[in-house]
Amino acid sequence: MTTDAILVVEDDEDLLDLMTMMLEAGGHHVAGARNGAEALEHIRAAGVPKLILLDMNMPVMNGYEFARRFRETYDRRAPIIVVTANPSARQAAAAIQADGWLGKPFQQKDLLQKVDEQTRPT
Amino acid sequence: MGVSRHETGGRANVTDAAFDSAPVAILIVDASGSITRANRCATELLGPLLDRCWSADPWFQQVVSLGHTVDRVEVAWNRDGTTLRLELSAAPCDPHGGVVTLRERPRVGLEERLRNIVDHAALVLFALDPAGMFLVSEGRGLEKLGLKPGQVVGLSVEDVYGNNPGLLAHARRALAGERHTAMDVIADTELAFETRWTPLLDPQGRVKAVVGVAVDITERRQAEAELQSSLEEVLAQRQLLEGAVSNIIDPVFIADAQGRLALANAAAFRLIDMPADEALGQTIVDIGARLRVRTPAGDPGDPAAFPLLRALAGETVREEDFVIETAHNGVRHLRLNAAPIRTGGRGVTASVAIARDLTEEIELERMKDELLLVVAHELRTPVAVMTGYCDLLAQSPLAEQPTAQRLIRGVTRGSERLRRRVDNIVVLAELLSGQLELAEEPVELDSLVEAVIADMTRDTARHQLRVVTQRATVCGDRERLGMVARALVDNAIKYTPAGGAIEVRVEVRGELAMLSVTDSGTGIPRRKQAAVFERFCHPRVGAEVDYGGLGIELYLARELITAHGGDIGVDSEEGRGSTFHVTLPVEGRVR
Repeated sequence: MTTDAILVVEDDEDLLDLMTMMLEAGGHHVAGARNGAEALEHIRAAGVPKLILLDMNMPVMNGYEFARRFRETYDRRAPIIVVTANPSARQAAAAIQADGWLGKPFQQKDLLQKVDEQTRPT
Repeated sequence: MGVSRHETGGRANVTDAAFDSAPVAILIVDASGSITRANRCATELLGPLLDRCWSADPWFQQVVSLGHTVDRVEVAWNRDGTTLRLELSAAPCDPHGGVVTLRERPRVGLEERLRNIVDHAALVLFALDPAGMFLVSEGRGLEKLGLKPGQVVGLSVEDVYGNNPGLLAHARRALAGERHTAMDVIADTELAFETRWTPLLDPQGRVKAVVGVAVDITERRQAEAELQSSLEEVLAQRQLLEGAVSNIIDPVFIADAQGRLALANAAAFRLIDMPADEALGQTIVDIGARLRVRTPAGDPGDPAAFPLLRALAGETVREEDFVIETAHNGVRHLRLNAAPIRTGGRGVTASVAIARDLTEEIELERMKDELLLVVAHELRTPVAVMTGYCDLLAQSPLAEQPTAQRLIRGVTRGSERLRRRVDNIVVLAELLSGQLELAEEPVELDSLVEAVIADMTRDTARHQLRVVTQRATVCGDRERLGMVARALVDNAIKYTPAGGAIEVRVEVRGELAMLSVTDSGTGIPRRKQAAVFERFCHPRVGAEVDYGGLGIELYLARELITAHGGDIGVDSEEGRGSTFHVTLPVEGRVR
């Protein structure tokens, strides 16, 4: 089961709301999860999204653990973009073999551009 | 003066024979001093002196010329360089002249030798009768007491020692039969005598007399006192030094000329995790090996570089850092100072090193850097939220209302400034904690600079800004290079009065891409130019205007450009303006 929504996994409620609004303004359907465990639950219930925007440092289940379990179950059926304030964003992205990364803070245009790169029909 | 013998008849022959063979030396002398006869003994005794008797001794002359009688006077004549001690007797013999007899003086007897000692040694020899009366009082030692030999004979010990109770008590002990030795200081003087009191007992054990020998020990005692006081002084100084060393909180090590640990304080033994009896005497090289000495960079420590050993070679070592490791203390980071010790003009005889344990400081510093990094990252998310909402707000229908538009722009600018400050702090924290990471991607420097300036229209509106660019592609981190460009343009705006000219150029010269920002501002005094790239530098502090800022922007610019393999510098003339220039290798060219 797949959906055409973008799943934003972010523990900061304000940022989650903001990213949701930015993406919706860009014409995307958005679902939110506050940690890796919620995200896995959402995917199990609602299906694999077209793209996952993943924060790395989260309570309950962090981005690394989420990515490992997601890949185990769903292989590469959705691209993952790492979104983090950590200086090692690039390393984190490489560690989980993500498809892209975005450093915080970011502007709406940067976010939409990254999303477009991964969701544009090829 | 010749000597002749007269041969006169038979009786005379007997007399002559007796004269000749007499066991004393006999000379017959006439009034002029000529020896008219000398017997065999005289010839043997005097030898060549026989001819010089007249001039040899005044006694001889007196005897002969004045007709004195002399009985056994002692004379000493020189014969062939040795002293001939003689006993001379003479009698006049009418009409003039005389007969002189000479015999060698007997060797000096025991009594005489004792007399000699008593007369010449600095001692006092005395004897007391059982009632304490002085029988004898002799010796050169009396001079110092202002007494003449025999002066106190007939006086009692009470008379003589009355004002010296100690001495009187010593005398009474001896008179009571006790043999003892005592030291006395004479009242009102510094004179000191050591007296050996010896009672002489009769067969019934009663004291017959007391013999005392007092030796003047004044000088010896003074010398001993001086020695004692200088010894005490040396000991006190040594204790002071040892106390100072052992109470210094920092570890102190002293090496001897052979490079062995000669002395260290408790802090030092704790630091190297060795008990004193084990560490002292070991070579510094062995101790260094045991401590696994390393440089702060982690390289094995070369024993030749150990400060204590370099100090032994005469070098003064200042503020050098080493890392050691022991089982008990773990890894310790030390800063050492060492100096040679030169004693008594004999060159370097030892060396001393003081270590400061920086481990906690460095750990605190590291924690501070970590904290800064965490704080900076924690700030990023709320800043991202603010700027993001401003972004959305600006696009919403609300922004169509002119007043709202102004308000939104104000909030946007404020949040953008906050974002840039936070970005700067993040880069600073990454640099300080060694976690700076740079992307390596092709960056069109010209486009990047144009984009940065386009974002700054409000900031640049009050200046005459000229931008001249040509395509210059470098390899690096777009975001961080943008930060450098922004810092340089910001700096130019800050220090150039409104209406002043600012020129930004991007060009390629050979294999170098060049970014230069020229302002027409206040300029930087030459002596402060190098400092503008230092951390927390406000080169124009003291100027009438406070230009604000964190004082880290140009420092970060230098660090970022250096990390990209580039160079940054400034040319400036006070009052005329400054040019900051950055050079970076063009893409594909590694310098």
